[in-house]
Amino acid sequence: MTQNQALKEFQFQPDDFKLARHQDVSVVEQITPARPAWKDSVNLFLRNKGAVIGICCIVIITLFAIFAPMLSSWKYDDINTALQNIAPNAEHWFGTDTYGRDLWVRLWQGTRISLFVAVMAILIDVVIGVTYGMISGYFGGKVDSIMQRIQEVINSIPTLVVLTILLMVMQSNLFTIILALAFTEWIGMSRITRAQVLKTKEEEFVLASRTLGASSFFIIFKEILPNIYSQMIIMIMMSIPNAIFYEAYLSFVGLGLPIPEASLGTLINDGFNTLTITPYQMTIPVIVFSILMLSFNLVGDGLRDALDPTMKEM
Amino acid sequence: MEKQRERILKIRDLNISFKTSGGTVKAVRGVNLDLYKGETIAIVGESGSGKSVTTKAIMGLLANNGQIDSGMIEYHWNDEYTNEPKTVDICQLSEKELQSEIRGRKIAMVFQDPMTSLNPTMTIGKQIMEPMIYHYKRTKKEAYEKALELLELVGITDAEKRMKNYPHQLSGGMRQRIVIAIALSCDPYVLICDEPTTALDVTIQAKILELIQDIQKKKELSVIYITHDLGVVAKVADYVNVMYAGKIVETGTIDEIFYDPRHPYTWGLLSSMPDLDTSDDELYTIPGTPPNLAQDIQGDAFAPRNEFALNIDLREDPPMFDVPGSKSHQVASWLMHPNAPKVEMPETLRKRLELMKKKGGVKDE
Amino acid sequence: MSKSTVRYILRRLAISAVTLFVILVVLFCMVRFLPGSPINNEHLSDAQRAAIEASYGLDLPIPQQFIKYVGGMLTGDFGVSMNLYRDMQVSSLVASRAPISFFLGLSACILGTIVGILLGVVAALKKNTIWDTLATVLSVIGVSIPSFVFAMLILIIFGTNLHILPTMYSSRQPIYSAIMPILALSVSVIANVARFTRTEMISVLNSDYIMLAKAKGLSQKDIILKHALRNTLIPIVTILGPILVNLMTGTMVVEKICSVPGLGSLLINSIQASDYNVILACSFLYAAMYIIMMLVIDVSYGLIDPRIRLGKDD
Repeated sequence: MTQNQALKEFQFQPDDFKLARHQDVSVVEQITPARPAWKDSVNLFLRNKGAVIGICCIVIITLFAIFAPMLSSWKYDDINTALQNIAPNAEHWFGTDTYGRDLWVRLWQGTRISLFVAVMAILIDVVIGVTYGMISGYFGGKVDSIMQRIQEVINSIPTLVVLTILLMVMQSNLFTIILALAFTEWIGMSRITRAQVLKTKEEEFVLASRTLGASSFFIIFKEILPNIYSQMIIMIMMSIPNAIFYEAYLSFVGLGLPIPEASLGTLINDGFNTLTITPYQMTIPVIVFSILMLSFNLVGDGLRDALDPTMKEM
Repeated sequence: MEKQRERILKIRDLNISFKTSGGTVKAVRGVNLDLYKGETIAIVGESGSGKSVTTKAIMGLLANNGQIDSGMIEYHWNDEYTNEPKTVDICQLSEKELQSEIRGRKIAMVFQDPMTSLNPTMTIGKQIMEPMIYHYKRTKKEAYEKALELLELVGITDAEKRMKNYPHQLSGGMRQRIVIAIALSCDPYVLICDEPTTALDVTIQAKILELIQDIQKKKELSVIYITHDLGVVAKVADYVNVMYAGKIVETGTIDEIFYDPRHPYTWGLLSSMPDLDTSDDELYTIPGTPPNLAQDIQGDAFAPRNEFALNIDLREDPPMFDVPGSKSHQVASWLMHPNAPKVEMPETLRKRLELMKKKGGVKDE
Repeated sequence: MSKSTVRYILRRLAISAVTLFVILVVLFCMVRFLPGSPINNEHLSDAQRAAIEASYGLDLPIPQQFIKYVGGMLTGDFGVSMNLYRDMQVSSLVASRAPISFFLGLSACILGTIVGILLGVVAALKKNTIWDTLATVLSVIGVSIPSFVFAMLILIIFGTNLHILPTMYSSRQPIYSAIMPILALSVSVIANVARFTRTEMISVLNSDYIMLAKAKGLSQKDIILKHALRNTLIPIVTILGPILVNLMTGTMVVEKICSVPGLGSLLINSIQASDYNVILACSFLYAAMYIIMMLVIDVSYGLIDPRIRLGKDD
């Protein structure tokens, strides 16, 4: 097609060949308005179906754990020998156990304790980890290398051995279980913190403040928290199911909460002993336990994808 | 240019789109391109202008969500045995045919980043020998001999030792030489170089370009360069295609593009090219950003950024205008229309180009 | 093997030896501080108890006990069981229990890795299809829910209800009764490996060198077998560490549920009976296995991945 033919296809208008420059050139820079990063993260998170389902499950289970025991007419440690091993019915929704205790109440009481233990343990974990990482990274040199060696040794003892021995030494009760669990997951947190401290230490404004004689410790501390908070949240979300699991594991090993306390672990363990006769005593807590584990993992995954795409490969 | 030119690739009205979550992106919009035997063309443009997509289409390597909506990519060659001319439309080939006939054998590609384009867990030797054994059923020994030859051709000393190395043991420049050797292993006719020097050290860049030119002469290759670096273009190309928003907006010989640019976008590109005589703060940048190709474009895609935009630019996409007095120079701009006001290139640019001309031309400095 | 590799391995061995020694000291001290006594027969008078304690050497100062213990250990003497299996050599006790646990763990690991890789590769190749979704959902479930739940599930379905698998481990049918624990243990391995393989495979398939392999004109089959698979599988070695730890914890509980007479149930029983020497030997064995496995994994990763040069970046 020649050029002239091509041009015939156009309908020209009189002012077509006038410069259109009067328009401001910069108008065309259609910059999408800057959105805060957290909004993007929230959007990303909400688009993840699994994570949303997970968070709903966690909220529902937590609400039940808080309110169900309060609203029921039974108490979790009411022993009533007249009501042993009753299958679920209208009065005892999830039946009763070998001591005649109402399992609906015990289940939610147990969930409450399990959640409480896990969350407390992980919070202490974070404090230990951040402190250890801060000190190690901030002082550097000999202190750092000694602390890193210690960490290496601790890290090479399997968690189950640490937990078992710790709880055998300190009679197991709510407090010692939390303490023992708190001792298991802090290493990851301290690694993240240390790496961030090492990075921040080299930043110019920190160096400058140091030459001016100011203590850089607080500057670093203030600078580091916003940088690691997303990794911290992910860590916490991933560690909580671990803590819940280890609590259950301890009950299995016989190092769980003392009678008559209830936790998901002790309920499953008690139920297991009479598995063939009264399967509901174990099945129900196992289901709640599984949903809880799954939900925390889903939420953790969702958060990781939303907050920190670089961690995806882990 | 007077001798009979043998056309090897003929692209007509190529349209390619990608389906993304943000809608359908029209990445290439009606591209025409010709490549002749032994010649070098360059496709220049900003990132996202569709230059890479065009070449990926030539090799049939579009991503899964990409598709050729219309157009043709004709490949011409002479049969190895009967020597009769043959033609095939790459767009119509099946995956199997593309893989066994085109890729590697007829058209080969050199990628941008030599640090990531070699398999990290396979020895260099194996990676070079692989396509020969695969396509030509050569024995291991033949392939090995040929690989050694190729390594020497691309200027790698100690070839025998290098064959046993893994990519991480070599420098970036060396790796790019290996990638070139791999591309040459099946004696292709067309070599596509996708930003072959962007990831390399400045000192290595020139050497790699010279190497490609050398090999091109020895093997009578046709080469397509994709680049955003006009400095590279100036060194290597015979013909230049300036691409913007999935369209070719200006095409011509290297001299025509460098000394007589007509499209305002080309002016912008040339003005923003750094050289030794310009200080950094004088350096020009084209205002605005390329358009979002997921949306329909009304009129000339460049109009919003164009200082010299005409009213018609906002309504109609300009066709290709021939530049009077040239067979090769074409421009897609309404400024070329006889009724358009006379617009000259910016004064600073004219001075720069004149300076360049005085220095003895863009090529062969 | 290069000189630096050998040096690296030697250094790692030295660190491991030190770590093991530290663990031994800590374990020994902790076990000695345990509340309660292994001599817990209520019919014994104080004098009799003291006599028995003296016969086990428990009246000596702790450092002396430790030296005696380590001395014995070097000759393969881990002391005797104090109450669980009265006066039986701990070494022979452990030797009779360990093989079953090893067999279970290893089989679960091998089975899980193979199935996991297959699942992960299929999911990556059929990305965004129903198969991918299915594999992803399955692996999230497998990763989050611990193996004892699966053990219970299999026990109830295939043991108690369908009577296909035995509900109790029988040493007369070692393979048949191992099916249930192996299946239960392998679920988490499958899930972890599949998940990792999928992410890894997808990122490999998007890499430049796969594009180059395509540009070479290789067939899809060759690209996957010769280029993608190898690069996907090498990093899997790195997650074997956490997986093995998982398996170790898993075996303890699963052994209890499936009543397998393995190392795990031995440890649990000894904890419940405060049988010092058995606890010590079992925990130490767990720690030692863990450290050796980590060492093997690190070294083998360095050997199969040409990019990693052991000892260079240390």
